[in-house]
Amino acid sequence: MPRDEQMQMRPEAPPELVARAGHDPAAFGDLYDHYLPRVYAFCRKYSETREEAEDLTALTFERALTAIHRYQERDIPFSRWLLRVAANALIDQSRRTGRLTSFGSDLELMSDESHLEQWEQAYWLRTHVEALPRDQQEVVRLRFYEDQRFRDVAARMGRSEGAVKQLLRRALRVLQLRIQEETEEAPSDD
Amino acid sequence: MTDDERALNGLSEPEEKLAGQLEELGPLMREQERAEAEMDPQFARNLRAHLVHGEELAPHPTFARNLRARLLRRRSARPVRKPSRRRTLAWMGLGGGAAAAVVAALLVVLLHRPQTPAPAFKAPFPSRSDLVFSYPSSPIVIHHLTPTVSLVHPAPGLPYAGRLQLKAGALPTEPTRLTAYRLTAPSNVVTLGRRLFGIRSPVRHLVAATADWAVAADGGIPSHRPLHSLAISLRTGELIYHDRRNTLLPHASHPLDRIHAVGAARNWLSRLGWPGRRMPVRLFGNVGSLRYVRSVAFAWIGVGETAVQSATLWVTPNGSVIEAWVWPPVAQQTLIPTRPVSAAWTEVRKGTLPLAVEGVSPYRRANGTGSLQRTIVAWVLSAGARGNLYLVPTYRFEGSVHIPGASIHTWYGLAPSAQR
Repeated sequence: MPRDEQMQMRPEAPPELVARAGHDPAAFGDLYDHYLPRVYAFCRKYSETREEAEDLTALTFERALTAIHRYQERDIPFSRWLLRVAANALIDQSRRTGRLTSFGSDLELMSDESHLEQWEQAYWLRTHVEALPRDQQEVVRLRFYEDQRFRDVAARMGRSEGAVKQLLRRALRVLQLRIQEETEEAPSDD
Repeated sequence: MTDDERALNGLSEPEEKLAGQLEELGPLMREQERAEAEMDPQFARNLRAHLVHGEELAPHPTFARNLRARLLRRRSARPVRKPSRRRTLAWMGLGGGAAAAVVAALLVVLLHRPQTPAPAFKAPFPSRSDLVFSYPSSPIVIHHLTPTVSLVHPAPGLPYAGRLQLKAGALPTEPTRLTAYRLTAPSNVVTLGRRLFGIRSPVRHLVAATADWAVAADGGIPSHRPLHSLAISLRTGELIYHDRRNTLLPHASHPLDRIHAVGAARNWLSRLGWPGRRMPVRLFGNVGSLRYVRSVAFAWIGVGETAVQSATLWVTPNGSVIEAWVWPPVAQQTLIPTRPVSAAWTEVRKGTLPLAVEGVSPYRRANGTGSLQRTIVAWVLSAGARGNLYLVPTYRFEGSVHIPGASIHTWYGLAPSAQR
């Protein structure tokens, strides 16, 4: 796999960038570029409007900017730490305003780390899907993102059902191989 | 087993596991993808600039749209004035006895005297651009004077591009005279404001949008410091203030209540020499893109419906004003003879005057059919030949319109009330 593509697929920014971001505004800017889409998407899920999501995203990064030096000691991925900051900002905001209508019991769910883990997992899988060839991406999207039946996927793509199934098998095979490669390349914790 | 399940046959165990994961997380992945696609790149750039350089480099489009929507007044139903008290009294005089006639005549004479000691003036006839100033603008058009004068300046409105066929409706009786107002001539309030607001840079003059502006501005592009500026048009007296030093309000927990927000806005206006204590509040609300900021809009004292607010200020939870758009107060007023409402309505129906349709792109060319439901008098800003600014009366016609391919919308049109 080309190195550029590998870098693009990394869901985490390099640790040295995170370390520098505490005292170097330009590095924080790079971190912001790297994590903004994920943080915004997370905030949007729990906001009624785009404006609310933007306010919450701004609040998350402002809190992160003032607290990033504390992250150095934590033993979790930076993205998880950032999402935790966002989740806390959302919980604080909701308690202050007393407005729980848009997410209700989701607030309790947000206190649960497994929820954030699932969000991260989905993001990580997406980065791999987005590296697939266009037709394979499309079949994965239609089948799994949109939960369409094969006959509908076939109609949308203008192919036979058999061809679509074959395409999906290929996509899964490529995805699996790439994930396996990434796992093997990742440095061991030991 | 369905066709769909059989399709997973032939996969290795890890591939099947992966398919299961995708099945489970697919909806979440789709949500993420949609949210990211929806994200406004301008917002992303502004927030980055704020975090990295401590400022916002450009106004957020939503912010700009909201500002424009709040600056330009939302119309409320108000019937056309009944025939004036003066006319009523005059008719009473003719129908009553001699004594009553004398009293009425005296009253008519008294009431016709100008209400201010200043001599009458000749009010300008509003131009087409005066009429459409309050019309909806394209959301993609943001009119920048220059970033130093104004980060966000409302673009002139656009008339609807298609043709509307309007059915006749009941027209009210027109008043024979209506008041026109001359606004205070521009003063060099920037010198005072600069001192009041602690702007360190000196006042300088620059030409933007064909007007001469006196501007005092700290920060802004390319200094990497947030803009803090006060500008006044030396032609019209329009005043624009920006304080972008703390617009994200990271420590705010709730907005100011109405009493305190209005009080802070009144104080701000009074310090600059406006009659802030007496100006009637016309609108009070939130600023969509800045959650804890309040928007307070004031009307001109003694003036009826206007197409634009006299002053609109944004107030933060600590009582600071961070945005202000202010027109000069009224200096003089005079009565001007009016033309019949029917004549104005004829012009509107013929299509010789620009019309607006709310909620539909002004660039649409589809023709529509509409009806007249209400006619009111509304005052619009108009610049005179000598550079003074006036509020002159217009008839505002409005109703509903059906445009093919769109639902029912509101149309409106302004037509000058004055005799030409």
